[in-house]
Amino acid sequence: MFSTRRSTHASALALGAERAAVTDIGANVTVDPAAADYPEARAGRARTAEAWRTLASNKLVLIGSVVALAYVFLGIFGSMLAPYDYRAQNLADALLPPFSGGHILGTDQLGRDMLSRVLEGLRISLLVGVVITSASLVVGALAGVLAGYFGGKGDKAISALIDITWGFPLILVAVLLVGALGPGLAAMMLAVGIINWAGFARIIRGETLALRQREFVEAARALGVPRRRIIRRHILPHTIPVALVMTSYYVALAVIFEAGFSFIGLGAQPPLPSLGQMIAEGRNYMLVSHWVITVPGVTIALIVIGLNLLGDGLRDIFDPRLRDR
Amino acid sequence: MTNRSTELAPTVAESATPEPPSDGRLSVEELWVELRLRRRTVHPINGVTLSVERGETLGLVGESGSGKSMLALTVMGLLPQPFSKVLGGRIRLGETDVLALNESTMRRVRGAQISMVFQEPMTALDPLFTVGDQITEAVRAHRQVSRAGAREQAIAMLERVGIASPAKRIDSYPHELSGGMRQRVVIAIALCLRPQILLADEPTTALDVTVQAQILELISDLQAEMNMGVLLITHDLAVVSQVAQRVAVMYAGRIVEMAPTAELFRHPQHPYTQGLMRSTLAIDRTGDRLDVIPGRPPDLSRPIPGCPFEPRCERATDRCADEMPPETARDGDPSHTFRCWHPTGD
Repeated sequence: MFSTRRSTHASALALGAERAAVTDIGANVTVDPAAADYPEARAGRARTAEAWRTLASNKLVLIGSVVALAYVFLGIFGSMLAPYDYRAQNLADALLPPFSGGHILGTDQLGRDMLSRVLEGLRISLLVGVVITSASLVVGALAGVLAGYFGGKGDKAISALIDITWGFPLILVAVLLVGALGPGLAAMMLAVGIINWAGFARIIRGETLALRQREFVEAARALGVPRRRIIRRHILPHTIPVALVMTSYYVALAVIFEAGFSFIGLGAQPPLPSLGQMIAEGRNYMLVSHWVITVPGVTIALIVIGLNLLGDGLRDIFDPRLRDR
Repeated sequence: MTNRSTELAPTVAESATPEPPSDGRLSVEELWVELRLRRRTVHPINGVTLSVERGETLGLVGESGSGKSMLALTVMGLLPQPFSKVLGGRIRLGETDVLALNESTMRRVRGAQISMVFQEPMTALDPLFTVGDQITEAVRAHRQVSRAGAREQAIAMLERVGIASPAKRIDSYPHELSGGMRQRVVIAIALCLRPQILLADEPTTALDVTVQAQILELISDLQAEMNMGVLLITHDLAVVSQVAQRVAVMYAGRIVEMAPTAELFRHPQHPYTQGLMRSTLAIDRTGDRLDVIPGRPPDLSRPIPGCPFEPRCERATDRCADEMPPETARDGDPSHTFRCWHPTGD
């Protein structure tokens, strides 16, 4: 369940290596004579238009984006849309199949509304996935840029820290933290944060090393632009494409991790419904009432597939050379 | 006592924000630079002395790896750290010792007093920002100017470097401009703060020949207008002959010959200078095979006791291999100097 982390990392790394040259290619595009009057406006629009075309031409990417958007939307507003209280039990209506008794997705073994529980589960999943991944992105990007730009002893220290962090399996760190803090969301979120920043830091450090060599960075230095400003304006913006692609994969991985960790009972604690925990509780009923586990299971699968498709799509848009492979 | 402290007060306030060096010539004296690579230590600059007066263009000529660009980076204080080290010598701008400045003062010198134009106009501009952004960035790195004020300055500068409809072009991205226009933009950025010294590192190498002439002319015009000293780094003698008043020939990190341009072309003393001239294409030299200088530049990670050009030189003797020739003036003319035991004597 957790082994995909490394391979995703590898593909993101390969992507990182490809990036440096890409902007050059993009920059070689010449403006057609017809657009010569107002090339600035046309080129800006053309670029956005092409990005949309790339998005729209790939059906899977479109699906991925829709799923990802729905995931974020439902994660934030879902609990307001829930038809029932996710905790409300009604043993008389236990294990109702979907589309019966006013329950669109049926009820679980305690008669709780599945839809309401899934929506609440999405909120937790989003909290772990998006919030923690964003936090690790910020920390990782900062560490990576500083290490890559300034080099020297600071770089050695940060790189060593990245390697050490990366050497620990996420599940081990999470279990250790549960031992220290007790089971629950806090330990799980902390674990994901502690490990995942290193992934971002490593890629962004590499990007920064490559960007540092670029002549426009040297030119900015030769003009006396302060270092802080060079980093903010000429390094960070160039790392955004890679960071975005990685983020979409990392959110998916965090979702899987949250589900898995809650499944073994160390994550979200009842009565908080997590998607993984719903599967764990429903296991005993799956032969008679499959929806108890298929509903949360399919939800997880949809989110993860959607996010991966989105990541692939973003990569296609940012790195045209990898397209159609 | 009280009297004294009031006298001191303004001085203290000034030293808190040290004034960057002002008016003056650039002079490099006996500069030695060392570059520590992973396995070996290279000496790209070995005792270089030269100066650029305000309003003057000094052409610095040499083949790849002769240390021309390293010299520019040293002057800018942009040597790759922590691998490189200035072993000795001085770089002065006016009366200020540039090498002694701390990083934050040096940052204020860069761009404002000494500026640089790079070889590749393509890569010297950040593809993510508009031309205007990049000029205003340079201005605002040094001066407290409002966004609108900087933009106005940028438009004026674009106009000055000959970009048509600058008010529109200012919002263009680098990829929307041709190579020549891009180099004009790079020049606009480098000169927007009216520096005293411009280091132009092969500014026309990446351009078409027709555009080259325009860019050189532009640099000359702006130089005259701003009374600026230009160090023009190039491997192209034709370029040098067009714009430079004096030429320094660099080989293996040393200046082997320096003279006023016309004098150098008429009476090259160093065999290397002569070799460079013979290996240049000329329109009246059709049919012949082009002369080449045999061999390669020496390995700069090994100490060279004698003349670095000795292994490739047809006039070389035992003495050349053992002893570095001293700086000699041709016919007692101090403006034309060379380092050679066996000058051609032309």
